[in-house]
Amino acid sequence: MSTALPAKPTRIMLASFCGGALLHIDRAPLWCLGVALAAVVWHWLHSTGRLRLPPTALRLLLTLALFAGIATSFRTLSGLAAGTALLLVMGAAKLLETRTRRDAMVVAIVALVLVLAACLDRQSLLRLPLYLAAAWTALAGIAAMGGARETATALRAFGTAGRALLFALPLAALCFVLVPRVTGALWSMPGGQSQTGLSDEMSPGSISDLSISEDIAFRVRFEGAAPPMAQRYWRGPVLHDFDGYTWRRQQGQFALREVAQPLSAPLRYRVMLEPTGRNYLFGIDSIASIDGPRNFRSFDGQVSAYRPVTAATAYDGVSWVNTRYDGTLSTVGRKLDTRLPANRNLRSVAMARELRARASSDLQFSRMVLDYFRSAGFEYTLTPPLLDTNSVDDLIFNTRRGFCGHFASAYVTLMRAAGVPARVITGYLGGTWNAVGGYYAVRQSQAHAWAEIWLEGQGWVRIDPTAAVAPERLRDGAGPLLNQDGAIDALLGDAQWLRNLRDSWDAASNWWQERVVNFNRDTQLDLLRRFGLDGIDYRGMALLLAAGGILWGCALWLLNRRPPQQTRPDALGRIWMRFIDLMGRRGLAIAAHEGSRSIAARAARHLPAAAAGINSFADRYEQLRFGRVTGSERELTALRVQLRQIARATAAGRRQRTAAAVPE
Amino acid sequence: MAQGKLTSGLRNGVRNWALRRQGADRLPLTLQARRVYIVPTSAGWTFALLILVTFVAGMNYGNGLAMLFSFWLTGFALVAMVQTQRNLAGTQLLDASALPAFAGAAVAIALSVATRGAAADLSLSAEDARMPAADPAEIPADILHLQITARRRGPWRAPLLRLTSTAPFGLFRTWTWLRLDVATLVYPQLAGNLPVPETAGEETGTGYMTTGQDELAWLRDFRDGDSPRQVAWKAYARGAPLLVREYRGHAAASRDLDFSALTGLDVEARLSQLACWCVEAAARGERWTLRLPGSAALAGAGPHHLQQCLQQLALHDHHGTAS
Repeated sequence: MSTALPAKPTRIMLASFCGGALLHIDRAPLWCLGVALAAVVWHWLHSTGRLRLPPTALRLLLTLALFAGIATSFRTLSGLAAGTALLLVMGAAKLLETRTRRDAMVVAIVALVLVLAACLDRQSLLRLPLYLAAAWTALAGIAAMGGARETATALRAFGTAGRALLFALPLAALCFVLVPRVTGALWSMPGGQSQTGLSDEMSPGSISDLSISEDIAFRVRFEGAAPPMAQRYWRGPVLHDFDGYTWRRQQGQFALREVAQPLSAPLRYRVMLEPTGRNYLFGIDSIASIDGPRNFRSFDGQVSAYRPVTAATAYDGVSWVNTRYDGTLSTVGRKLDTRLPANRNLRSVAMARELRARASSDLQFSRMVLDYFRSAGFEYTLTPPLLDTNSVDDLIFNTRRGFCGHFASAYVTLMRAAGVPARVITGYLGGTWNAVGGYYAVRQSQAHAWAEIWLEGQGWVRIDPTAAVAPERLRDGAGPLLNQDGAIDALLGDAQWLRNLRDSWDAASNWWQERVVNFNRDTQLDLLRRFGLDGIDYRGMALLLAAGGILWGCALWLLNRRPPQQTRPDALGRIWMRFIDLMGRRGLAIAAHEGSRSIAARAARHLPAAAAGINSFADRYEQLRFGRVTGSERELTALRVQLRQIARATAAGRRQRTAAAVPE
Repeated sequence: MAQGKLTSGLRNGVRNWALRRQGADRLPLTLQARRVYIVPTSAGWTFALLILVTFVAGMNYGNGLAMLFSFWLTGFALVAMVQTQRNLAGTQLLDASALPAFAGAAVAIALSVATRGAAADLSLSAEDARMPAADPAEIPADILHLQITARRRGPWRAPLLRLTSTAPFGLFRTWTWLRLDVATLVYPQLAGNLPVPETAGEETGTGYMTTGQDELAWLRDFRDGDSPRQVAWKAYARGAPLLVREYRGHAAASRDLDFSALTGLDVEARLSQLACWCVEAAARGERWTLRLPGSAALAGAGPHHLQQCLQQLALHDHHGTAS
């Protein structure tokens, strides 16, 4: 194991490190990847004899510098991101001193750790083949470096590793299903994850091109019939604070809460939320309760988990589509939701007050504002012009083009200006039906913003100003608001099979998320129930696991029972076999495993006429076989001649002939 | 130091226990599983730690993929363990031999095996003197080689051997101890620079020699100065190299190599000198007579004669102690 590195296994080892590093290509800092790949190239040049490995002093210096680089760029050495980067650069440093099999084995193991780090980071179905390929390569690297054989080819290394992986798969599946899962984390996932989807803020005026992401935000399965499109408002962050340009969430907790009375039967559904890096949990408006990760409902009806959603998470939601508020709005609440920044959007404020003066009620005022949006030439677009700091004034009196965020922001500002409590709700609207998976997929492109106003006697009422500007976007089932002319749908066009393909893929990745990545105690018991193992306890699971493990072990034992065999004899071996055959024909019984020396001694006694020839033949054979003499073709031919001599000498003796015994 | 003593004591204890369990080795034999031992290598322990960390992390974060990988790697390690163990268990040891060597040089042990996988996955090592195995490129497929330095002249018995394998992944090391009944002779060290004694005139043959001028003894490689009449031309015509026929009773000058004539040297130095002369005489194709006190004089020529002379030198005045 500590011998020098042969060329072919070295290449497999380099490939495995490359594979492990490339899994992190979009997460790890680029310089770390650069260092890793540079080390691979360096070592490759070294293995082909074109470059020397760096001297010890330089290597130590480099290692320290890399270590310091990680420490300064991450400010920590713990956590998945920093740990991965550290693995990358330390693996690279190890490559620069890899001279023996033992060193190369370390590099191959680092490659495997890189794969596992990637598994902890992201688990999507799309990445699974990459993980499998990288893990296989790393194990092939281990096979190439760990075996004693010098001549391991890539084919053999991959074959050995692949076979062992296949053998191991049944046990892995068995353990996966039967090893009991505990709920609850021992320690929490370190932060620093990237965040996608909705955020704590909304500044419509700062966006000039709302790029549409077709990524799935979450998937929903309804118990019973799904509510119609117009009722599938998925409530997310509620924004209260406005500085004239940006809407923000109200920080801090409020004890006040307006108690809603349900007017319809509860709607139940199960949500598979993709990781967001934030705390929001989405549910149909208005959310009654969410059962899943530990969460709380804030005063404004928004549900947040205690910990950021860093991995795909499933939860069960209960909602009421129609509600009524009996009480009155508290003073604090009214103050919070009627507050506007001073000296901002003054023209809009003036217009709102003028309209309110003409209206008989808050409700009628709201209708007048929506009518205004409908009739004053507002246009819905995903590429709106940028707005100045008086963003609402700029929108209403100047640009008149925007998307849902613009209209929600303007509407709430106008309401508040007239003293009507109002707030901006962000979330998603709709969801497309996936017939393959039997669920609704809600995509990032279906993100939406709407408004709520407080009406005396009715409580909080949902108003969607975008519907006034672009009503068709609510009616249309697919791509309701943002992606009417989205690139993906335009591409898919009428090709039904393409849509089916997309649905199938999405269903598969949902199955993967739900059944494999998020396999927990509940899904485990559910699966076992389907196998008829209802109410199985830990002891039963342990027994099943043990039984399955023993079966697997027996199968493994039997499959590896190939009888031992000698490989095909080499040229020298074949000459010896011919000698054995000859002795057999001359009447000398030879045991299967008799040693060459004892055969020769018995043969010499048995055939005294050729004793000298047999002895020298056997001596020569032993010299070639066991000595340090390489059996050149010349030597082998001499041995063959000698064998023929013995054959003739003994044949002559048997036939009582004297002539031709000795070659000329 | 104390710890080193403790571990080596422990190791010896384990080894002796194992040797008592397995009894004597008589070839050919099939290695039974009960005498094949297996432990993880350092890489194997690292692998185990990796599996554990993945499992705990997967459990903690509810990450099914990490769990799946940890189970899969566990299965992989178990497969690796079985495969490694079966490199040895069930392997047949067919034949072992050791070639004689001159003292100071290495005795070459060769062990012929039949394995499930490839014999190249196995390696042979001696417990006491760890010698590098022969260059793998030169090893015939089923022969394991080991070279052990021969220290003293005389009969030589193989020390306790260890047959090891870490293939196919290097995560486990499996081994068995072999107490093979392999013996050979260690010839005297080739040393001495005294001139060869002059030829002692016509030699008429002694008890060893058989009669008959033209009895073919064997064929040897052609050397400069050989008569063309002695070349085996028929063999040459069939593609063999130039070979020369040697005959017994071939009349030639014979050198007299006498132990008693070497005065002023101790016993070992004399034997070394005699061995040297024998080898040189054989290389020149001469006849010689070896005279050792207490043994019959050996007269003759050729490699077989040389071997007999060296055997006599190796065993001279030997009281049966092994090297």
